[in-house]
Amino acid sequence: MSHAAVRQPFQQVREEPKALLAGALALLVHVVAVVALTYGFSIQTQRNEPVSAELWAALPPPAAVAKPVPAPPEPPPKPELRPVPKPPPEPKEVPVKAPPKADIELKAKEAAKAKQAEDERRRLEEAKKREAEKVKAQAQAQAQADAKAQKEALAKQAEADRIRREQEELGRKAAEAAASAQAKLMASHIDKIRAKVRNFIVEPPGVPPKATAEFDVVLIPGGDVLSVKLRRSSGNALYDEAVERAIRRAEPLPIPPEPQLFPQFRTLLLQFRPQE
Amino acid sequence: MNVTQDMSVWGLVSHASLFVQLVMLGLLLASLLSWWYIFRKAFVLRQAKSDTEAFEKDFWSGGDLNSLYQAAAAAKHRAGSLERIFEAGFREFSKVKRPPGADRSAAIDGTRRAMSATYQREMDVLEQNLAFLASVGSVAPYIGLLGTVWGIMHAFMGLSTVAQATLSLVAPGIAEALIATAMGLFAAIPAVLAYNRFSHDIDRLAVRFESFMEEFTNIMQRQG
Repeated sequence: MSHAAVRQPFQQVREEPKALLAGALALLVHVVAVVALTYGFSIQTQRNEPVSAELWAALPPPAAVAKPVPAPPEPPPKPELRPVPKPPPEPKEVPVKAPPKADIELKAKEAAKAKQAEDERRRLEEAKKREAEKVKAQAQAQAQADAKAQKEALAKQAEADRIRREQEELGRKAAEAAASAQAKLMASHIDKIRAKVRNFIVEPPGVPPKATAEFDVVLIPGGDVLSVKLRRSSGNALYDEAVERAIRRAEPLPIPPEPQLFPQFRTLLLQFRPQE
Repeated sequence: MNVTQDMSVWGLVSHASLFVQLVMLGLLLASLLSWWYIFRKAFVLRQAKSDTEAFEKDFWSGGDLNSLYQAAAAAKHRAGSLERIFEAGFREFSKVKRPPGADRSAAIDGTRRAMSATYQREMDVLEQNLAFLASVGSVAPYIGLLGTVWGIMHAFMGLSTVAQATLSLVAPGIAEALIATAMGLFAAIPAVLAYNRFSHDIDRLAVRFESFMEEFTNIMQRQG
């Protein structure tokens, strides 16, 4: 048998034209799978956050929450509407003092000439005096007018003062009302906080019902507890500890969500009494 | 532990431990390779089937065996399996036939041997890489499981250091560990399906080749 008759196995290398296409298809399959997996997962990862709800017998009215911003003080009463202050009683025209009585008896005793001269002189004098009186009266009137004006001014001033005082009074009243509303709101929130904490208190046995534990609690925005300090012990260390633990476990404490209210809730004084 | 865990696939993969990541990488490569072989094999087998059908049609249409042989020998590297078998047998037969008065049965035996040798080689080529698909199909789930077990071990070890055990502490670790199993199954399932399909196709082709060999031997015997 000739050598040429022997088939060489390695001649059998054959072309496989679609190997590259097959590779591309394999890649495509994986890319599709990865894309499908990624999108399928990303849809499922939108988890619903659990909703926590608290039940309260009496809710602080939501309006009260908005109120604490002190109501703008009522517009100051317009001065022109105020009853015009009564002008002080007009000072009565002070009568010009009567000129001194002419000394008639003297005139009679004297001689006519002398009397005449005297008369003349007197008249002159009188005239002069009158003149002086007149000037004096004028000055007095002037002074009186001045005094009157001054008095009026004083009265006006007093009136203005009164108005201002009234306004201040009104403003203070409004501020007081706002403050009391805020205090009410704060009290209701503190009640909420205490109620929440109370849920977590595990009371030790044998605590006298009158025992009161007071705590200074410092919060951070969001209601988490920064620090808890025992201000006044209830007399029962176990109860104090139980309350402190409860305060820590109750966080976040239910403080109002409005950030402008937070400063009032930064530090709280909380009182707890067993079996409240 | 981080509360806002990235629960996307990429986040899970990147959080996994190194060993699990290596397992995932290996599985990804196995999957890529097996898919590549799947497509290659699918194309090759489809080609082989159509070649076989075409040659059978040519052969049984009553054409001249010599011209068939010439055509097969000329385009050897493009010829189909059946064509090669025929070519090998016919060549052997024509060689043995040359010395006049030789023993006929010896020539027929030689033809058979030549054809069966080519048949074996063709079957080898067709079955190439099928073993890889079989391996991936049977082993990939185990590798994925190993990665998963490792990842879960890690998750629970991390759990032992914390005082309060919650589900959210273990869940991400388990999720990322389970990705390894998912990848193993992703690699294995197509490999197993393709392996079964391809070995069935190859068996059918083998039956066709063998019956052709028998029939061709009969023709040679009649001719010789």
